[in-house]
Amino acid sequence: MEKPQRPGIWASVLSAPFLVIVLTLLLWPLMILGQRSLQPEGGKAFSLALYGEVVTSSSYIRAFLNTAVISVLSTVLALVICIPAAIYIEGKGGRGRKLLAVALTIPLSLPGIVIGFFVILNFGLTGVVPQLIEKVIGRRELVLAYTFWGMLLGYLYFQIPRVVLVMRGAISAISQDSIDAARTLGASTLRVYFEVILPALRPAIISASSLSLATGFGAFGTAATLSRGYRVVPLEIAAAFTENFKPAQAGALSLLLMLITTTILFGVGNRGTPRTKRQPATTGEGA
Amino acid sequence: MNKPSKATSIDFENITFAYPGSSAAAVTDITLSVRAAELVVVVGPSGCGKSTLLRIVAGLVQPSRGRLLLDGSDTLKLPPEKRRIGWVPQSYALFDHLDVSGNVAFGLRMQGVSKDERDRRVQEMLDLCRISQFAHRPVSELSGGQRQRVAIARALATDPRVLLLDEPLAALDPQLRVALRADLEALLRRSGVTTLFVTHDQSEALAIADRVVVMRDGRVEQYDTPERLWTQPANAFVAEFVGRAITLKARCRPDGTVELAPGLVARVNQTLPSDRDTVTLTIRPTDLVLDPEGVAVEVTGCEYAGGTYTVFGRLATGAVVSFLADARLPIGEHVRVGIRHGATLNVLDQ
Amino acid sequence: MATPLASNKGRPDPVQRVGATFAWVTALICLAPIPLVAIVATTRNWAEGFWAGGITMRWLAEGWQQISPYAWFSLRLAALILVLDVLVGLPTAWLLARYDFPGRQLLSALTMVPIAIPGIAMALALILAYPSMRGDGRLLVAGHLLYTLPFFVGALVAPLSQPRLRELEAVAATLGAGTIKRLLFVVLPQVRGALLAATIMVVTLSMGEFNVSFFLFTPSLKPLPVELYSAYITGRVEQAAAITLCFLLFVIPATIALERLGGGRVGQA
Repeated sequence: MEKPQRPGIWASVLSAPFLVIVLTLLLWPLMILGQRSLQPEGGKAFSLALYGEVVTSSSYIRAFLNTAVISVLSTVLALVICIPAAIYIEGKGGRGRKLLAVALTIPLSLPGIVIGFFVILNFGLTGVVPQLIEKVIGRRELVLAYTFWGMLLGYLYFQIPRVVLVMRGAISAISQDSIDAARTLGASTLRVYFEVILPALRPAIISASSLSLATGFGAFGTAATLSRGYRVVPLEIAAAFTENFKPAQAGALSLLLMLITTTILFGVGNRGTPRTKRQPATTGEGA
Repeated sequence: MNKPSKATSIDFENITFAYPGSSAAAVTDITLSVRAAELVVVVGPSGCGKSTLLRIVAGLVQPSRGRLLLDGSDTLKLPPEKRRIGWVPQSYALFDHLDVSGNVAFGLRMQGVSKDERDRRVQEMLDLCRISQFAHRPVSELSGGQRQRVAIARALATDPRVLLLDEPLAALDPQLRVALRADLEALLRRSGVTTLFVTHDQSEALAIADRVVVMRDGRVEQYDTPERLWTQPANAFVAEFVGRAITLKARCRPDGTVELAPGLVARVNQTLPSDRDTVTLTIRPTDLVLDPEGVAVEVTGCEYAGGTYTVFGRLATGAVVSFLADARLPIGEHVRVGIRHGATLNVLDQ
Repeated sequence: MATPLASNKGRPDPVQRVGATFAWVTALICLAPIPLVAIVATTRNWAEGFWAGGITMRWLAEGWQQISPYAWFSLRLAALILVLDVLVGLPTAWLLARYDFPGRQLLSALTMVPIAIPGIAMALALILAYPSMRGDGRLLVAGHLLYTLPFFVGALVAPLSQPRLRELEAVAATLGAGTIKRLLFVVLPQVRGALLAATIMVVTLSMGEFNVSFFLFTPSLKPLPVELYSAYITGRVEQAAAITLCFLLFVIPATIALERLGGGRVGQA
């Protein structure tokens, strides 16, 4: 049946449950959050004082920088690893490739804390790698778990499956015909990659990066498990709220963080996705 | 099989429909009547609106203007589920979560027919369409021709008043198409249901139709029996669409014949208008023959069609005609052609 | 890319080779921790090495004892979330898939908004807005609902808007099926696969949700991942490993099933 004559009525009825949820559970609370962040003393006066504090506080600034650094770094590394890996996986089918596909999907469902635990198991004080090294040289080295590098590994662990998923989708959409045409026109393998495949993947790379960056910025579980001194913004928010009982300050931090993740996802990310395909193609809000 | 108690007639009156968001109308001002138990084929190039016409009858599309009468009563207000119409889309749209019997029984289930009656009817349909041996097969295991028959059996099972077939043979291999076409026609005649059959293949239309609707750009160009379509096409489009006719201008002669080129004279199928010097004619390859006493043409093309060659030649006037030959003629060669003895050319109304 | 540059006259494609290396190494790295967790969970004294002190089931038994109430709670919570997702998400997905109306793009974007909001920010906002609902767990449900809806809706919009499905519905209509019958006998059977995938996805997402749950739980309403976290921070590594193993046993089969169903869209906190 063609679209009905009066979509207006159906639109209202069918969208009502969702709109109720969004209004009461999403928009209203966020507004309250914003409001509280603008009322530093709990009084009636609205001021940007808290935001001012955040922006001028060196520790908060460092936290934002830290978050940016680890997110960007893990995103870049993930791209470097995942693009070739995804190209391989999407190649001619075979059991090996299917196994790989499944293997790389498993981390998707793991919460950040479990990923953090994995890093601890591998690189903690009693981690596998230090223990193996101890067998060789007599003392434990590479106890990375609670350092920046350990955190980076953790972030990388949850970025990889997300990036692979996005890239796989885009790669499978590349038309074999355009590759063949390029080859008949004389392009060598390397040229085909740089002139045909990578350009075709550009939107997906942008999309995957934005997803990965936003997830990195919002990641809490991994940081909570692994961080001992490398402060990222989500940790600061948690501290402001649960340890220092300063909800307004936590609110200001949250809103700033949200501003960043929303801009990344909806601003940058949309440049990469064609209009018709805006769906939550992958991933949850963070690890 | 029991013929339906009373076959249904269809009347289109000024049916017009445009897709939202496009200024061009899909069908414009269609008025025609289909008689009870008639097999009418709607033919035309892609985009001419023939599938839309079918969807209007099925109730899947609401025209913006006009009336649609089934057996004289207005059906536009009825939703598809109440119209008792069988519709077979081009993709056949079989339910792959049901087996063949499940598909054929679907309409009966929807109408609340009892299980025994349902089974009886399903068996009847399977026999009619000669697919009984597939009764419990999943549809994914069937070939194109078999799926087509399942789709038709499913549509016929509910004893519809009208059967709508949208390019039923288009999805099949060309070799199969002609063989299955005869089977399909036999099946349709046996069932006695009024049928609207859409195709883009004019030879199909000529082969099986009682009457043919030729459509272009949403309008009916001609609605006639296949014979009249062939011998008296209403305009240049119909002439070219149905059987590769070429249109030419020819000079009227006082004795009622026409001259296509100096020395090439032909009879026509109607009285020439008295007020004109030239008329437009349609001429088919079968109207011309190689004739040592005819006029000269220069061969501009030669195609083998299996058994004969279709040759294109340019007359002295510059017009290009085509004719049939037994042997390949090289391009550039000069031969002579004349009008076949007894041929009558068709004059197009202005 | 069905046959990427592999037909290179026998000379293996250099990028494919690099890709293969990366893919296998990465897969190994991604999967290796799992057997490792199993080993640690069964080692009597991990601080001294693999299976030092012998293999033991003690940690697993204790671990399961410790977490089973929370595991069951998480399952019940996931079931509730699933029901809510169906009630709220199915009409929304249907609307987005079938109707065109002003504001459709906006609605579609709204379904994705929760993804852009860090869990901790959302939890904070919920607490500030409805402080009284924290204690009875309603905020916890709200958080889970917000973070599973985008995936549920997203997973269903595409299958529901398939032209093939709509043609099947059209045929069913001509065969006499009204709207309800079409839904029951054509739409639901046809989107079975997508519904199953969406279900698994929601359950997995909910069972693994941490970022929001961490701020919205109460001692009697504590999801499994929150309990996992306390174990990581305070417990012995063997205990933590045992509990993690239990968690993995819940979650990994579901993920594999999801990938086989073609889902592969699970995203998680």
